[in-house]
Amino acid sequence: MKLEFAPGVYTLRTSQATELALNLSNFWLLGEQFQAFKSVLWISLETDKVLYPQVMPLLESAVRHPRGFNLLSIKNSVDDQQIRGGSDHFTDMLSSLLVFSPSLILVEGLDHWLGASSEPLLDRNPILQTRYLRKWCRETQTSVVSIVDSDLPIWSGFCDGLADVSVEGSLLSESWWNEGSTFFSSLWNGSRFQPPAENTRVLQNADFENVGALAKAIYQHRFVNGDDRFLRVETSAPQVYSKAPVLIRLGADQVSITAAQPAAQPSADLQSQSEESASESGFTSMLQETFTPGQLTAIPTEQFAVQGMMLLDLSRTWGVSCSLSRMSLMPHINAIQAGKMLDLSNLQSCVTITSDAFYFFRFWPSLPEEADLYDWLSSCFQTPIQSLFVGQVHYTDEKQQLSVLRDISLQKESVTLLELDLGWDTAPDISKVWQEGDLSENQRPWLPRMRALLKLEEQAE
Amino acid sequence: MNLILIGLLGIIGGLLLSILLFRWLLSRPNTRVIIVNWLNWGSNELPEGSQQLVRHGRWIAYIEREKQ
Repeated sequence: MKLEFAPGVYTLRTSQATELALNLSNFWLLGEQFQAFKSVLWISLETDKVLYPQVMPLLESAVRHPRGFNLLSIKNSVDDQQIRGGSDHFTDMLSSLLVFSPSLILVEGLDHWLGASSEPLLDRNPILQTRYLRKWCRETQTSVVSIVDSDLPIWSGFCDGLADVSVEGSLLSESWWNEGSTFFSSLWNGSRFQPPAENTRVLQNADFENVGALAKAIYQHRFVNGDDRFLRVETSAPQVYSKAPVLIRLGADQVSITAAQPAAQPSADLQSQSEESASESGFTSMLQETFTPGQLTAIPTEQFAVQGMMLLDLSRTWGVSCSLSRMSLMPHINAIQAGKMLDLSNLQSCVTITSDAFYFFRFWPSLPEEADLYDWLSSCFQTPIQSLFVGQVHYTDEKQQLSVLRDISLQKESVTLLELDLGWDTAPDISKVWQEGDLSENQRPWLPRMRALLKLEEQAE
Repeated sequence: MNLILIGLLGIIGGLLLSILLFRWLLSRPNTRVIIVNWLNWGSNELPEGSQQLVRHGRWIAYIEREKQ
């Protein structure tokens, strides 16, 4: 199946990023694919010496002089850490390089801009970075294609498309894909095409009070009711349409933007259904895991602070509450000893450990009571928490949470996950959770796709 | 007085014409590439150390061939 890109940001995972970028450029130069684009810019992590023998023959064999083709090597900038992070700096650079639009941008190492550690904490929110870049792409008629051959970055979960592609440029499997006015997915039903009407359920955004209620109904359809029918979501609101990657990971098969319809009253049936019978805590836990796949475990302090900021921002949009708890260690208890007492199988939040305290961040259906927080935190350890901690402070106010997250990011004496030696040396990397299912649970949204991938691999063998 | 007025109108008209001509040149692929190259827009916002290897379909980077 051939790749097609509408204006937006896409992530392609492959085994050799440079080779795939070269092949995609070749398709355009030879006039085989992507002819809707007037120009192609390839940003490479290789040096000129490596690229020259590969690129020159292509330029010479092009159908006509490839006036729209540009190639940039960022190898030295990356080695010398000279790249200023942030999607705004990335778009500034593109604006100075692009000559013709619409354009196709093939980027290796987009990570050096989006979520770069050189940026201030407040500017590293992966979802905001991706949102800005997607908006810029739509306004400039540009398709930015990030090519990765290693771990999937968190922001790839908010892109217009995410797919596994062979180095030759053929689509192996796609999680979701935006084709302009519809997001398609083969995550749940193995096929992106809509079956006959009797096997399809349609949810209209106008029937719900907000996007959080719509998400709950989707979650209920897929995980609570175990409904196998194809689920199509229709919306006339661009803000909801831009959240399609999240709605798909929560269980939708297709999200379409339709012409604006007269404002309808939220349907009482659907509303009460989604509020009453959806497993509320299951939904919030799933939502948190959808935003930070594979990260509901012990993670480094800096990552905890960045994710906390992002989740705090998201909690407002999606109508959920969040809590940040600090548990102070007893003076004679070592953080590493206490870390070994964590019950990771029962953790529904992300946790980080410093030399004198443990911090937990969790989504809740509604503002939790002190007793609920205490019970939950007790269940996170294999021993009574009174024997490990002096006490706990729970922050539910947004300003306080922000201030604590900033403090956490500045912690010098944080405990590295290696020191804990818990049988896992780091938080599981995202691509493993997405693709290999190391932490497999039947309810994980990526499991059906993972199975499909395994089948593909079996067939290939 | 009249001469000053005519002079001012001439300057404004000239400016307007230049802007329109510049926009027309930028809208055409061939002349756009020439103007962009002339103004050297292609290297303004690049990160320190990065290198543009191909510009508008031509290999422009210098390679130390002896070391290859």
